[in-house]
Order: sequence, then C-alpha cells, then structure tokens
Amino acid sequence: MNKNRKRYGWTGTILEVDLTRSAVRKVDLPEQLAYNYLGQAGINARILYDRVSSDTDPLSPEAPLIFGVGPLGGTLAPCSGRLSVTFKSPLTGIFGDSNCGGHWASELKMAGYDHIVVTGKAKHPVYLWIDNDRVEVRDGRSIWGKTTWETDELVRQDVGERTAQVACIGPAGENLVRFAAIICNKARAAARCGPGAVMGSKNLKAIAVRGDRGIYVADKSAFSEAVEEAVSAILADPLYESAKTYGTLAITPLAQALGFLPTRNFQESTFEGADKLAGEVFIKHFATKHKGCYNCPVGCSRLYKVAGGPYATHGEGPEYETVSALGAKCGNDNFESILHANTLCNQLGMDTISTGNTLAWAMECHEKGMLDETDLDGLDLHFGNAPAMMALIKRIADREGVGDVLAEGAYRAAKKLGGSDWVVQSKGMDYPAVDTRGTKGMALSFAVSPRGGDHLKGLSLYEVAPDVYAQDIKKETGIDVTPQYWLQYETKAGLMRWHENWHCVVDSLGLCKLEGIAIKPLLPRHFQRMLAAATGWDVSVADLERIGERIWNLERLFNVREGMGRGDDLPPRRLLEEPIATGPARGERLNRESYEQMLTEYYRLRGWDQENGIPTQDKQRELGLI
Amino acid sequence: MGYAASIRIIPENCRGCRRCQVACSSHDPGPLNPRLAGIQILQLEDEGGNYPVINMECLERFCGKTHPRDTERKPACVGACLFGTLEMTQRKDNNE
Repeated sequence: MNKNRKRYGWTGTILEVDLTRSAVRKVDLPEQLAYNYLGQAGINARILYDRVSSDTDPLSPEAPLIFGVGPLGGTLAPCSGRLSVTFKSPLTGIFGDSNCGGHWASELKMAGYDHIVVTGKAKHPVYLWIDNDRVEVRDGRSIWGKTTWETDELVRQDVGERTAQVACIGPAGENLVRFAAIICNKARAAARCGPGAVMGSKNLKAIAVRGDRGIYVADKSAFSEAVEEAVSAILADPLYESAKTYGTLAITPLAQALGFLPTRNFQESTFEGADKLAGEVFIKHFATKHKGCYNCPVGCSRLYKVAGGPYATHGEGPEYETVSALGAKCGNDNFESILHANTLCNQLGMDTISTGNTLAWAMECHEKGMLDETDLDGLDLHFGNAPAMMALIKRIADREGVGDVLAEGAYRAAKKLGGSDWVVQSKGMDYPAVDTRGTKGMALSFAVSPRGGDHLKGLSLYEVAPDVYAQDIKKETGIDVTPQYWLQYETKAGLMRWHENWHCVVDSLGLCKLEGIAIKPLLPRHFQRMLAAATGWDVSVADLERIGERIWNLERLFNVREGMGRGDDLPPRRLLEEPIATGPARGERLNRESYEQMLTEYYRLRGWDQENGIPTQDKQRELGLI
Repeated sequence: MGYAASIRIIPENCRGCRRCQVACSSHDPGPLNPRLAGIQILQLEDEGGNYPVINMECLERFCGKTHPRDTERKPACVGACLFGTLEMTQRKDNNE
C-alpha cells in the first residue's frame, strides 16, 4: 500500500517472521492483493498458494503458517473479532485453514498488522512478543510442555503485560497431533485441519500481542450508519434471542427433530440421549456466565462449571459441534463428561470435532471386534464409556500408547489398523455433526469443501430452514423453495455456490459468519456498505461476490495441484451406501446417481471441467488467476 | 443535596465483548482502539470472568458521546451494551 496514504480498514503491513534465522521484517501489504483477495482468509490463501508446492511437507520448516485479520476486523463493525490461520494441512495434506473468534485478532490490528507469515523452525522452543512496533522472538523453553491455559498466563507474566492477548499451542501441538489446535484466550480454537501441529513443528509455542495504535476508517459517519444498519438487522433477527442465550447449542434439538444428529459414529442420525444434551440443560445446570467475542452484539459463548465429581471442571463453550462430537457421535449422554473433555481439548490444544470422530471411529472398531482391549491399552472402549474417552484424549495429546496412532486422525489410523470403511471423512478430514444423508445440499458442500469434510465453507441455514428464509433465498439466489426442501437434490448446486462465494467474503472481511451468511441477518449489501465506508473503496456487491468466487477457485486450484479430482468430491462411503435406519430421516441415503448429477451441475455452474472439477482456463482468466 | 445522572455497573451480566469500549473510542477523533476508552474490562483470571471498570470522571460528568439512536441523554458505552451490564441511574450529587 502507498506509504504516503493513510491506511483505512487495512493497516497495510504484513509481518514476516523467519524462525530459523530468528529474524522479523515488516512488509507493505500490496494494494492489488487487498483489492483482489480482501484480507484474512482470502489474502492468507493467496500467500499460501504462492509459497508452497505439492512437494512441501506441511510440517517442514519451509511450510508457512499464516495469520490474517480482515479490513473490517477490530473495527466498529459487529462481530469483528475473527482470525484466520492458513497452512498446508498436516491432517489432509491439502489446503488448510481454520478460524476463531476472541480478542487476539483485533489486538493484532491495533498493533498495526493485517497478517503474520511465519516460516522456518526455531532451534529451541520460542514465543513471539509483538508489542506494537517492537517484535521479539523470545526464549520459550520454560513454557514448552505447558497447557494452553498455563501458557496464556505464563507468557503474559513474562512480557509483563496482563492485558496482552495470547494465541498458543498445548502439548498436542508440540507432539504434532495432526488435528492440534491454536487456542486464543484459553478457549477460542482455530482447530480444524491441525494448525497447532504446524506451529509445534516450528518450535513456536505462542504469539502474544499488544496494540496501542488503532484503526482508521475512511468515512466515519457513513461507516457508523452502515454499522448501525447491520447491528439493527442482527437485533431484529428471529433467531437473535436464541443465539444470545444458547449459542450454537440451540441446534441440538433441531438436529434431533429433523434426524441429522450423527450418533455412534454416524451409524444412526438420532440419539436417545439428545434431551440430556440440550441447551436448556446446559444453561440450567452448568452455565455460570455468558461470554462474547470482540465487539459482538450476540455474545453466544458461555462460561461453565462442573462443581464436583469425577468430571469437575470449568471452562468456556461448548459449541454444538463439540457436544455432538464428544456426545452423540460417541454415544455419550453424560454432559459433565463432555464439558470435562471440552476443557481438556482446549487445554491440550486439540480440535474437538476430529477428537470426537477419532474416538467414535475407534469405538465402532471396538464394537465390531476389530480393536480389542489389548490394542487399546486395556481400555474397554464401548460407545458411551466416558472415563475411557477422557483417558484417550490425554494419551492422544501425549502420543502415548494407542494415542500415538490415534493422534494421526481416524483416516490415517485406519490405514494402519484397518476399519477404513467406518471413517466418515472427505479428503482425509473428519465430518462435522450433520448427517448429510438427509440434507442433500450440505452433502455436496461438505464433500467439495477445499479443506475436506467441513461444514463451515458452504454452511447453509437456508437449506434446513427454508420456510423462515424463503423470501431471502428467492431474492438472493432466484430459487423457489419447495416443501421439505432439504431432501431434494435440485437447485442445490446453485444454492451452495452462492453460499460458498459469500462465506469466502465474510471470512476475508474479518467478520463472524454465524451472524453473517450462515444464520442470515447480514446480507451482501451490509458487507458492501460497511467495507466501502471503512476503506473508501468504491466496491459493489457484484465485485464482492466475484472476489469470493476468486478465493474459492484459488483454493480449488491449490488442491488440484495436490492431485485432487472428482473422486475426492464424493461423500463418505457410509452416507452413500447405508440408509439411515431409525428416526425421522429413516430410509434416507445419498443416491450415487443423483449425487453425481448434482456434482456435474455444480462443476458446470462453477466453470470447472467435468472430469475432475478443474477450473477451466477461461474461468481462471475471467477471475484474473492467470 | 441533589441527584445527577450516573452509570451503574452490573458485572454479573458482562460478557466481555468490549462493545462499550469500542463505542466510546469510536466517538473520539483519531483511531479506534478500545484501550483508549473511558471504560475498561478487567479479566478475572480464575474462572475467566469479566469485570468492567469505569473512569471516575465518566461517572461524574456526562461525556456527551450520545448514540444517535438513543433519545435520552445516555453515554455511548451504556447505549452499546446489549447485555444489561451498564444502566443509567441517579446518584447523590455532593456538589449541591
């Protein structure tokens, strides 16, 4: 960016850190990069694409670990506390990114940086201290081995700044668990695809930041008006009170009622213990206080406490995904144990989704007689055995006994131990807590996601709540919804394409998509108005969607370079072959032929070739990618 | 002795989102930074609770940073809080 011009929205600076040489450098954010990829996830993706090749080992020193905040991150815009971390995934070997809230991302903006690109490997454990302009690589040997909670406190003591924000890894990241997380503020996890392992491979324990500078916007009064319009839309949303009270735990009863709550490793899609895992139960018995990320009008998170007994604990969360992964998927209806496990995963620094799925897969292997107690360090790992789950979570983080192979994730563990048929994954990544045999559009978006089995890149509430959003769906996408819209294959390719493009935009602006495209209150015009006023950039809604499309295509090209093709865009075997046996979605499965037709239509709409879903030369040219 | 408008803090309701700080800072000329606000939120370590603390002068004298949406005389921090942590109240005014 032009040094003589005041920076609006973006800070205009990328921090490059080479841990091998213990050297840091500040680089101007190129203006064209910002205009083509916005920021946060988008710019991260471009930097990653340019700096790795198919030969790059995700855990090698040369593999970059990229942190990014968007042009609206840290501003007056609602829900502007998001961080994206982008890397080549040690779990899947392909494109990897992960996103979290909290207060770390906004602090990085206040310190004067949009992105941090970390490469190399330190000779011994270190941490990074970013005190505004001053950036230091500090000795981290005394905190290596500590949990994320201990690290958070020790680092702030060491830098002598209690209000610094800390992002760090726990023992799981140090031990290169392939689904290890980076944890901000003790509980906000950038976890999917295993960024914690990448950080661990660099001997980087933590990044602490303090920012006293601040953010300027181009047109303060127009920006305030645009923000006010967005906040009003959030407050007026029919789901606002529910989101404010239960957060994502409001989804559990809906999942049970529609029959998409994966149970016992996706063998069923309703759970007899679902009532015990409802948001109401949590609020009544365990929640001690509500909590919110930076500048969020919803504050969907909560603090909890289990006062006594074997699962005594306290912490923040849990999300629907966590309760399902460590609950229904493992046949476990003991909420106290789920909270205990959530705190453990946060302290050890592990993705709760992949942790739950890996345990659930091992449980099915045990049930089917493929893994017995001698394989499992003497643990009787039947579905619902919560004490055995707690023991295994620790073993995975420490790579101890059977934990060593489970730390590779279910997909790789199955290659060693057998049981691949029961791993519910795409491109090596474990599926989140939606049984997509019933929701055909999500079946497509989970399977084509650039980071593998994933719900967040194309998440569509429009699909499961068509009655509430029929008007918006029509207005935004031109699609007329039909009764039980989620069950149909038709029009889903277009619906998902729209969602994917706009999720790319939201993830690149610095905003939370829960209040963005996923749960609806914010629409494209809100993002456009806020961005234009904040940056002074004459950008249109169509420009923004084009940017979203560009980012999506770039992530696809990354995976094409890694050898991915049409065969990798199929749902897991179980969802294609085994119909749901019980519950309201009984009999549903994904019909291979109908799915392939939907995929073909999706490739056509995307401008990708039919054979392998490769963006055509024309499409790449149109998007300025070649 | 008279009464003056003041701000009451109900820390149990605080979610630590810092919307109050952001609103306060955004009214000042210069860059936005919640650290520059008249209200700060302390982080209580043990169980991660949030505890807002406000500058004495904010309590004693109306700052004039009113949100356009608010019809009553209410500082921006109070207007921004959506969780019932900051309320307008009357306090005894010792100056009279």
